[in-house]
Amino acid sequence: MMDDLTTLSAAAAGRLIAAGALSPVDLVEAFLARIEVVDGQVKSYLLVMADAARAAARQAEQEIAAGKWRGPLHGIPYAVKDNYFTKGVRTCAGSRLLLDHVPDFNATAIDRLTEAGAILLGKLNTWEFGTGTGGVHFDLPFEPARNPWNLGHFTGGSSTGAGASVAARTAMFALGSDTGGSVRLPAAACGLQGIKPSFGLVSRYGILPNCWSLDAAGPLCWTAEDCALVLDAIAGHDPADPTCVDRRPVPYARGIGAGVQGEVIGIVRAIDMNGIGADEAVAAGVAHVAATLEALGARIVEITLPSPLSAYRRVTSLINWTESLSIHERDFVERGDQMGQALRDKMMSGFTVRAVDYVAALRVRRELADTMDRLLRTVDALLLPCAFHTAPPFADPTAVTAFTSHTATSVFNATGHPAMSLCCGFDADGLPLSAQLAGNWFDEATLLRIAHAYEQATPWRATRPTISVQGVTT
Amino acid sequence: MSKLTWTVADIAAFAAANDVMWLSPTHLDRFVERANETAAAGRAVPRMASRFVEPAHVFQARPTRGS
Repeated sequence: MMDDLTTLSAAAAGRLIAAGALSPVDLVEAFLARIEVVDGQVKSYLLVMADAARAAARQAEQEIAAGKWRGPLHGIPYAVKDNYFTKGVRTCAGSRLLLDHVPDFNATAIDRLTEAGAILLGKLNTWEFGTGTGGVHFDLPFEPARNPWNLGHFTGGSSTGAGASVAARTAMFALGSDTGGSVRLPAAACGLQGIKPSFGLVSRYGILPNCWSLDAAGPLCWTAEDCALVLDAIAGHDPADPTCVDRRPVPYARGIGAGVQGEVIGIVRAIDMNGIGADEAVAAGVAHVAATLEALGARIVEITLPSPLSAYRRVTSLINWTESLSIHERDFVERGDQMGQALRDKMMSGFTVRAVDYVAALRVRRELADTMDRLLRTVDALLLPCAFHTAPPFADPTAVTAFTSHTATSVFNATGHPAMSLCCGFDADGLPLSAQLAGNWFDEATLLRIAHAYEQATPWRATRPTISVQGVTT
Repeated sequence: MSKLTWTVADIAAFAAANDVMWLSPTHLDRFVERANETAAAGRAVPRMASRFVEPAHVFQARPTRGS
């Protein structure tokens, strides 16, 4: 019974809690018990806040009993990537440089989820400082998170624990951060739905910065509806983040079931990163999404991106390397030898970027954004691959780097448009396949509605990974 | 267009001038690899034909729908 509660979506659990049919205390206990059983293998958490979560669950139960229901996330347990600042709780971003770092304030997104009644279970595994170069070198103070679909396989990065936790059911949803795909790629590898919102929709205040020009905060969830509920809670203007747009929030969950009849969806079939295209199974998965949506009443049109993927990657890499070094320059200069190789490599790149190349990249970025916007205005959404491969084994380091490199994710960090990873089935080895939906600026609602329609028409959300613990499958 | 390439001696001198003192020989070799990849990436960024195209200093996405 207790373990079954972890298979609920956040939306379903929220409805049960609102109806008085589920206790937040029982729900939190179910997740803490599952963390205890499986996380020694999955390694999704760097720190579990069991006592605080139990206290918050009791408070939620009392508030709801007193008629003070805060909304659909009231009593829902979640976790955050360890680059989100948590007041009084260690936030080390997976780095030995920050092992003693205890912030004195919360990230805005956490405060907003607390206001919505959600219950923070703990801090999740991540690549060091939420960044890197795509490789995993096993040289950080914490072991890498493992993919719940196959514990010998990579989770995608950099929000490694966020992907692992929701798939392993050690959190009901998770918050990650995405500079070049770090929400969407772990979601893709772990069979989740993950959304990078429009640049400026969600406050990054209190999230350890990686690259000011490209960073976005977003949720990784089991369902599109869960993503919508989380966005409903965290989106909106925050004067503490100068890039956060001051506009009235759109309700994301309301209307998510309205279907896709008449929607125009542009499918991008011909796509490659420096000659490497999507695996056959991934391409078939994307085509399956298109066929399913067409059967549901959408109109599918063939689209070509305005620029090759390498153009977006080149620009985002230069911007990312430079700004990241600017953020971490002192650490690199004084103790770069204590960084893991992936972060140190990135800092080395930033150290030798010419200023004129960085500015040239920022100029091209504006043009890439404008040309993509003109294309997106002709459709309701784009459909294209997300990760070109399924999650590779850790034992193949070249494939691990390729998983992060051969993607169509950085496109939408460059242009600022919303984009989400959508699970579209499984390959012959049972590893998740992914597609990507991208939309017009601040039109996350359309992406979530399309993703929800696809989920409802397909069986993929009925399959959860199982994890074997001492010979017992759980 | 820049023809910049880095050698171990270049990087060692550049790093020392910027107070990076912890580099081992392995670090230096890696630094050279990364620096040359970075130089190539910089060269590959196209230049704007017009002087009036400004950089996206602080990028702001503009609402186009549903607002």
